[in-house]
Amino acid sequence: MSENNLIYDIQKFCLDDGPGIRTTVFFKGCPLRCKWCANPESQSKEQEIGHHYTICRACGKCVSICPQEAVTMIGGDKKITIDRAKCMVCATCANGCIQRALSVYGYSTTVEDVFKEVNKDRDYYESTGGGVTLSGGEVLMQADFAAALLKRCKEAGIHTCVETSGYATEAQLEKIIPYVDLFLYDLKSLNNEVHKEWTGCSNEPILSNLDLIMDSGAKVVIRFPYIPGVNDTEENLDLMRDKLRELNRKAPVPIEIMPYHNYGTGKYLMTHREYELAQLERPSLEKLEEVKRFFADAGISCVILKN
Amino acid sequence: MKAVIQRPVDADAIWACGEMSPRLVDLRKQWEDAPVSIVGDSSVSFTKAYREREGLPISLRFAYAFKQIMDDSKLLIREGELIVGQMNDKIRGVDIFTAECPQSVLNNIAQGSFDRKMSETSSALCDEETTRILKEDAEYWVKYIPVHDSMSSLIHELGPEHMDLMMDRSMVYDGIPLRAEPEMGIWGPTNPPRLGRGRSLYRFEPAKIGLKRVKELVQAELDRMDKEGSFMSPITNRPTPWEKKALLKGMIICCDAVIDWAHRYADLAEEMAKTASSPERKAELERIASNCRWVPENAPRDYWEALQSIRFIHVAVQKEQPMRKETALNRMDQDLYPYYIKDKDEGKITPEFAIELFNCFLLKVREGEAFDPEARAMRHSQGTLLPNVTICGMDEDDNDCTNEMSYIILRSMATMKFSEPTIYIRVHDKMSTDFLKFAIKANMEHQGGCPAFLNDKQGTDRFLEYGIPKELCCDWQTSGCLGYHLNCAQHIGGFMHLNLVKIFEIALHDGYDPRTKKQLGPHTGKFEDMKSMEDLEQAYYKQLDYFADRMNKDYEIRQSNEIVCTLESALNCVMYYDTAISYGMNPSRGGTPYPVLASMWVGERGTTDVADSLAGVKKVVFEDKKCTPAELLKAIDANWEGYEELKQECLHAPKYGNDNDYVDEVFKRITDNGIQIMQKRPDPITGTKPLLFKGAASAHMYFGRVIGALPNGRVSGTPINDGGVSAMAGMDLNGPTALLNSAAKFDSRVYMGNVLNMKMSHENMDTDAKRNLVAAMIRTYIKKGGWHLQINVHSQEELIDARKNPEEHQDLLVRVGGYSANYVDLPYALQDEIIQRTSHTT
Repeated sequence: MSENNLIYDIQKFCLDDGPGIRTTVFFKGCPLRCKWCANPESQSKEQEIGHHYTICRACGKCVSICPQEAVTMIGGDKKITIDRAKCMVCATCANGCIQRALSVYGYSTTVEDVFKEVNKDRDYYESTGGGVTLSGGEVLMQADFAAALLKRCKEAGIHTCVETSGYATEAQLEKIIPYVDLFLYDLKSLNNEVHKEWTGCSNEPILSNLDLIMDSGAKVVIRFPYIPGVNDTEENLDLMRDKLRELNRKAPVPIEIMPYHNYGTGKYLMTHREYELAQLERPSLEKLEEVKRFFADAGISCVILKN
Repeated sequence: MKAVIQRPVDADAIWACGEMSPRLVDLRKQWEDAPVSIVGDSSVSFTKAYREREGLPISLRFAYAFKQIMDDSKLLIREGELIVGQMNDKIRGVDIFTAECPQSVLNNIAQGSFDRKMSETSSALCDEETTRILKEDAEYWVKYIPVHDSMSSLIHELGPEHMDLMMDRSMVYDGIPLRAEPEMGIWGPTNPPRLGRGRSLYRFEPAKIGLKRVKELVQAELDRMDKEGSFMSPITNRPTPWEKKALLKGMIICCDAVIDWAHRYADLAEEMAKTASSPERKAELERIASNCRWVPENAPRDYWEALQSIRFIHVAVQKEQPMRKETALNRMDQDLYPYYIKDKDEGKITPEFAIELFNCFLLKVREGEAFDPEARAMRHSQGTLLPNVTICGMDEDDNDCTNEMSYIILRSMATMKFSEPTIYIRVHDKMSTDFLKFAIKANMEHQGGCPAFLNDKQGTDRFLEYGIPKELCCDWQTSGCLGYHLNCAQHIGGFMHLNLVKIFEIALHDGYDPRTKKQLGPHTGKFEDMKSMEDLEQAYYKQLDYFADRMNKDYEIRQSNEIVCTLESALNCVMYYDTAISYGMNPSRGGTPYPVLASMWVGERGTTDVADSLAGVKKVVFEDKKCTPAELLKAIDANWEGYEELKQECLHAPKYGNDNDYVDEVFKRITDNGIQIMQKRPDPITGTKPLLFKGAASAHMYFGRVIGALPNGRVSGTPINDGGVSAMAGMDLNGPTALLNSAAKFDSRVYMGNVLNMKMSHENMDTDAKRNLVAAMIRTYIKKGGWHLQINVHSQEELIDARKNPEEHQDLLVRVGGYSANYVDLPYALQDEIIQRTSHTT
């Protein structure tokens, strides 16, 4: 397998990642760079060091033990910075940190290990119609691993969901389709210029892959990250409505609105990334209800996911 | 008790009655603002009447003393109240009952504790006259109670070193505290009621049939005895006719005392009606007068009277022993439903007014205060009386007992937001999801871990094997924090608490206790020489076996020497009039059809901490070889000073509560082996196996204080886990299902209770869809064999702010183990711990 089966978290008791109580497996690596991204640590397909600045006591041990001399402590407030170009993610600093304030995001795993962890909550899936959700990052960047894991879960009778941006090749997508009970499919903007500006990628493969999924007969829920000033324009909403109507002619496809939030701020700090949209105001509930009505009026089933 | 045929309940309409009426807003505010004051009235009345009747059978002396308490009791009806009857004329008056703890009273007076603040945020007030009275009474009782018998026998049989094993509160008689500070704390019987053995749980039958009827039944037995003679057990020659008659006559005296007291309330209400503030209030007072004139003497005719009757009886049993805690209120939805539904059918009551009355009732229950300055201050919130209410469950035909009253009780609880009583729901397969969701919504609104959820079937099934009929097994309620009792048991045996963590610490030190610096246990091997975790585990079992044996011998001696109070209480027999009439003895003397249920209870504390510590040793020392056993021991004995790195290694070793078999297997194994060891010796009095209990919160801080650093990374003196099967604070990092899975791995059916506290964020319950999932989660846990689950909802921000601005957060409740408490009343150490507890967010 060419992929290294890189995930960065397995989270239990997820109530918002598909039906029922679910376990969500977060894949590492994403082709998109959405400026509102709440999981910046998921973006790189390489392992990276995270710095938990709140528990760091700035003892300086990491500075002294880093073989690459990539860790420095500067300024009066003793902030740790990591020269990401120099860092080889050898984890010497993380292993040496007394406070465990440094950690490695991302670890290689196996289908069987993930399955074993997922399978622990199967009683709760059975009683709630829940199951496993693969998320990320972009699951399709590791399509072989994803397909094998989904197959393993499905064979064990566990309901499967994949949350995806849809940005992948048809070949990648086709690998997983047979093992997915429900796609949670992101549509960020139907205006390709906007899409490119804010995610760094074209929406064309996303839209064609959506058709591919629909044609395969797989179940789909559209997820709409609602970002004020980005994709909340009348134009985009009209396009979304039209797209949803078109999809609903083939099969019932509901839409879930995921309002912008900035809970990811801390993770930007921990991975030493710039968070361009950190200060954006959260959309008001009234505004969201308005959008919900807009879709509902068009006969489209719509849910607001609170956060 | 058979379930009444189900009728549809309009849950939304009941939920909509959530606003607190101006009446209750005022009454609640008065309670919040009222100072806690110490009252000596009951002590004076009881002591006087008891002393005057020297030579009479103790049961009669108790009955007369109780009558004196009731006759002297000062009354109070507050503006706006609809349910009346209280301990004394103070809103938050604490009766100090010197007979129960004379030496403790004298110590407190000597140390000035009665004048001292009870915690950072509350105070206790005792005026000079009260102090004088209490001192005088205490000086009598301290001589009267033959405490020396137990102590001398213990020292004679087990040696003076045995005293090193006990906490100071382990003095059952509370006569001569050997130590001002808990030095060891391996065990100690808890003591409600302190003078007696074990405790009684009541089904409020006399409140339903009326005390007049109880008197008639008792009188009929007295008449029969005059005609036919008495029955004496051929084996014990007890009771003698005079013993039995004295008890029966005592019962009649007690009934009359309660009736007269209620009538005095009727007189007062009538008097107050004459000068009432408004025509509406006048009508209310007249109704109160009529209620008190009728109940508890007669059977209640409607819901309001039934509630008033239960209130009177509940106060009466608490007045007999004012420091008695844990007088549970039985299955109130079952008790009240017939009255409520009849009123409703006749158009005499609305759900809204039924809730209003229940709110008034809850307020009265919450006004009760307890004061136990020595031990309780550091253990949990002051004033806790633990008057649990149990609801729902299945009857003997597997019908769902949930009814409209169950909803009303939950609505009222969520409105009033009191830390007690705690409402426990007996959850079963037939319970509707709508009701469970309603309960979860109530839990979210209450914000204090209430209601909590229990495994109904497990509670009912546990005693079937003892040959107790199913209809009796179905009728159970919860007590304390948190065990459960069949109502037919009437009385349960004494309590011993075993501090497993201390025993582990001693095993780690080859039988030596680093705190008292004495060799307290046998030599079971030096940790420095051990080659695996299993070696240490075996040493732990040997220590456990040794201490379990000593505990049993201790129990045998002390229980043999105990007398008085519950053992001789005629009022106790009023509550169980039917068996008292047939047996002529208190249940605790053997007057019960099911003595098996009076077997001793052994509460194990700290399985989690022992399991985590063993796993820490395995991982850090023997697998990762981060240090040698000798180095770890040094680090622990230095309380990690200079060993920060090793401490972090230990802290990050696998922890129970994360569905990780590495440590959960250890938890399960030490539990299973612990059961074998602790049930090896029969209860010395009943000859039956001791009943085990993995509970609960109250001792976790207390025990924690006497335990040094541990290989789980814990620092010396900090609390141990807060429930019987909770995770180490802040260490359950994989969410609710992982914690539940860990807790469901051991077989909880052997236990009389185990406590699992879980934190969950508000966001996981704030929509109907999510409550559906949480409901399914609870059901699944129970299906997997879980016994108890308490979900605590709140945000950390809220807690931190409450620390800064306590006055703005009076309504903020926190659950600690099986308890609820007003958050701002808790000691700071406990506040910190709660802030630290993991919040399960997704």
